[in-house]
Amino acid sequence: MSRVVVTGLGPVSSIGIGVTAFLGGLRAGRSGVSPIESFDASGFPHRHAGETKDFRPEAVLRRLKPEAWGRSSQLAAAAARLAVRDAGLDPGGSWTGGAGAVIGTTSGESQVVELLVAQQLADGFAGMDPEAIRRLPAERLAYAVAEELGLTGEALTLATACSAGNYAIGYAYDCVAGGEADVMLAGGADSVCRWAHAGFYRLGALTERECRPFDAGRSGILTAEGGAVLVLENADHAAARGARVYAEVLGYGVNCDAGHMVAPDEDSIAACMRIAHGNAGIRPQDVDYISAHGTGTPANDLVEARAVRQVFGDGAPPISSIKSMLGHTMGAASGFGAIATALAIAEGFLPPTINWTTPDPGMPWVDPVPNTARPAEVRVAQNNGFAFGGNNAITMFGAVR
Amino acid sequence: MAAPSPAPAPPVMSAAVTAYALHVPGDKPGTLPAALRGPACDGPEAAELLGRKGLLAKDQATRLALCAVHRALGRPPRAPRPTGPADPGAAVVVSSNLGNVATVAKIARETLDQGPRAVSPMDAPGASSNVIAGAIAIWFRLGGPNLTVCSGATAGLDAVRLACLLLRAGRARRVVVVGVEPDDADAALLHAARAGVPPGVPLRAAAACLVLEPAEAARAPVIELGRFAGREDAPAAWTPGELAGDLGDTYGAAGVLLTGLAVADVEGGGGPTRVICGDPEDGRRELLVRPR
Repeated sequence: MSRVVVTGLGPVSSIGIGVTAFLGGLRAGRSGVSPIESFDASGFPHRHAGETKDFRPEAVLRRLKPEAWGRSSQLAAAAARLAVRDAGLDPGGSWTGGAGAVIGTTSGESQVVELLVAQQLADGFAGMDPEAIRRLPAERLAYAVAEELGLTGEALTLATACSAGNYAIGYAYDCVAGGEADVMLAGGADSVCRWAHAGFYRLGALTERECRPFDAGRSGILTAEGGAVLVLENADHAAARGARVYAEVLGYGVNCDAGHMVAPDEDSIAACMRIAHGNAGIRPQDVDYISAHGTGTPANDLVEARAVRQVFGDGAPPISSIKSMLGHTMGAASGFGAIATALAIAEGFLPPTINWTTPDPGMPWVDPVPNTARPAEVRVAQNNGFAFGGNNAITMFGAVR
Repeated sequence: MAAPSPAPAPPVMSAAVTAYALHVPGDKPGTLPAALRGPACDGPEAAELLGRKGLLAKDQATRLALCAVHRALGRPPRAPRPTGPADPGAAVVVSSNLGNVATVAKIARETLDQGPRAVSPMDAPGASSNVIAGAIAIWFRLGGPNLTVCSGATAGLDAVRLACLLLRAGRARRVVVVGVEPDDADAALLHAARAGVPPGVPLRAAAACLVLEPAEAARAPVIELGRFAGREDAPAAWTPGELAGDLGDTYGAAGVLLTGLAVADVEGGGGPTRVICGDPEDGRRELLVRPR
């Protein structure tokens, strides 16, 4: 088995585009939440989301024509382009032969769905734009990355909902560790849209203006969007080209609650943590920081905190949720978590949970790194991602040895 | 004297197919392979096989997928659902490109036309892209890795490859691979607009299930994936095009369905068979099925 390292980061987010801006956002505890502009939200009582309003695809993409791709594909390809640039990989260099792209998503090209449905309601099936239909398939998220970068290896879109980013990173890790590829681009992408906003609203999962994970007054998620892609590279390949290494991917764990479609399960999540620790070859006491799934719903955060307690006992490390800043970016969420985790290790700090005011008496063992980033040595970190369907996926990262 | 031909490169990955089922509802001409011709209930009649409880608000693709798994696991009609702890070593990998598109379109239409309060909370979880894989895990108590892939025309064989990776990496002892597509109006419209589809070949609702275990663990036909140097002489028995005229396009289900047909051939005494999946738009993937 080959060692796998993270050599490039590509965040396209509401708190910053590119690694420098994103790092600045994490350190400052910046909120990317704002009134929704991508659709008319006047019919909703909750009208805020984490939209990536500064994203200009034409400013980042070099090969893709933005008008031929949906927003989620644009976000994925732009994130990948930024990650490759950050990794110092030569555009079009020999590394692209056999390099692959694995992109996770929850809702694929959700804004294209929105457009087509509007056309259908106005003029029937015949009114739907064939070009828009061709932009719809979710597999195009990975194809967009491959086409933008000229990659000739795997191009795979995983639809494992809100843990899909971690599933993608895990798949890429297995490919590199198993010797099938030297370089993989992995992460996730999703777009804010009306129908997904409506679905979460009707499930009672939306909050109004501020996402407040682990706070006693937390009341739900804010829908959000973005693209988050990492360069995963064979450690020898990275060393041979003198690449800067943010962190090592130590391993990952995945499992399924197999219990309920929307209610998380403490025991199953704890089991997933143990699988991840075992695969990474570390003990719970080795973990210095947990990047939480931390959606801000009463149920998720309590179950996640209890699972942490079950695995870590009284020695739980700090656990913060960047969803307090970004909102819930769905299939990109654990990709952003992985980027934040790699930065925490490389830069020596813990990203904060913002909007936090009141401890939850039901989880006194939780240190959410309230409101302000904290300097810290992070040698081993855990990045949680959970999803509807009971899909749990946890990636483990370590400082460069 | 001719130079000796190079030894075939070893397969990158392999797995044993310890069970399978092909579940294709609707009329089927007698020219189709026998393994495809058997009766198969469609979504509305799924209770005949699965029992009534638990099917409320489940879409067509989820119902067909559950039927295929039910049959592959050898469960009798209307057998009670398994109970007890979920098996952490049993993974699920689903391939479907259009699985829940009808649910998503319904929610999007209702929201736009009547406002967000028109959306049923019963429908909302079904808009999650991993709904089929999650439902299979819940129904059959499969607690291992749980994956959904929607990579277009190669998705079925992509799912098989993912399953083999899970086995090779020791992340599962057994993987239930399911390829499934619905044929509702929204799915059919989107399918017809695809660039890779030959004109006049309609979308066909279908589900297929393969149960994969490590190749060394069972006496069963073996799948090999990877480099095929030296294997080009193996007959390419199954490609999507061969069935298109009689069956239609099973799209994301095709790779799993065709692999099931190759397994049926091998079990019937046939030799190694290549399965090829994909189209000019989405690329190509292939595997080899051979006797043990």
